[in-house]
Amino acid sequence: MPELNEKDLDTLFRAAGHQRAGKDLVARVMAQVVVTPIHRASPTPPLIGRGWWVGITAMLVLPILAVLSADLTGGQYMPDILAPLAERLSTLRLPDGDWPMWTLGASSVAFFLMALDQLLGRTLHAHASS
Amino acid sequence: MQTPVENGELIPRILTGDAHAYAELVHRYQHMVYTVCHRVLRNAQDAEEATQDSFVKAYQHLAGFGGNAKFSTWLYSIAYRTAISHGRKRQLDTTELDGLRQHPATLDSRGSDQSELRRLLDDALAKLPAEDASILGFYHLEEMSVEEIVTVTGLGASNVKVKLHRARKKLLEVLNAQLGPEARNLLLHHA
Repeated sequence: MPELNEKDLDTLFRAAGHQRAGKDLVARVMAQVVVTPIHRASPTPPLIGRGWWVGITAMLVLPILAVLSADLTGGQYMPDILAPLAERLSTLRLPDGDWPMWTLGASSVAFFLMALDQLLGRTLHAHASS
Repeated sequence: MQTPVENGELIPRILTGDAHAYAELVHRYQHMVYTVCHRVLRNAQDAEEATQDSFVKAYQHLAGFGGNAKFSTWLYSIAYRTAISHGRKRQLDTTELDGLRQHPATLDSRGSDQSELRRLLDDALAKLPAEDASILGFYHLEEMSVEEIVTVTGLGASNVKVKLHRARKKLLEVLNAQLGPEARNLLLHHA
């Protein structure tokens, strides 16, 4: 007589079938269900609204575009919306030393993200305590 | 068992307040959920309680069932986790259970119906860790894929595959050691 093998397990499990739950299980469950509310996720407003995100994106993207436009066109072509910004940026002077522009950019972005993090932290705290 | 389409028709009705539609779902899945709980808890009373809790939890969170997975997989996932949680709460004494489950491993022609076959399989599964026994049940009885077992148990895919391989080997060792040639023959004949 050969021993049972893996194929036999499929047959065995299916032939044995499921355990049988108590006969009144459905009634007991339904007795609880009728006094149980269904949890429905209530939409929570985002911490930062869409308008804020548009503003934040503009704040990050516009200076980059201004600098890029100025660099690429040598100041010949500048969209009207970027001109005042480019002018303001051109007055910025790098500190003495070998400071690549991207270092300042990265520092500014890091500073901005830190400030955003603080703002979100305060908003969350306010939500939690209300 | 009903098709997913029929489950898909029942769920919106339940969500609009038709409790009878939920009774239909409970009726449909009660034995399957009970089996999942029993494999983990190995005790009829605890398994009944865990099954009841599982259905109540499923009802409470039904609005969160997105339909990405099969309803049965979602329900088994709740049942498996509820049973594990019940087991932890009760601080299941496996030593005591081992003692309770020392049935003689025989299969004779008088008791060779489905329930006898089930008892024999359960006795062999009781020699395995509850997690391994559950995984074997999901794979061989519920015909779940490894991915579905991953969803239900929360284990990694490679972990499930290793456990499945080892548990299968161990179960075969237990069954082959417990049963004499005659009983094996009878078992396969009835299976």
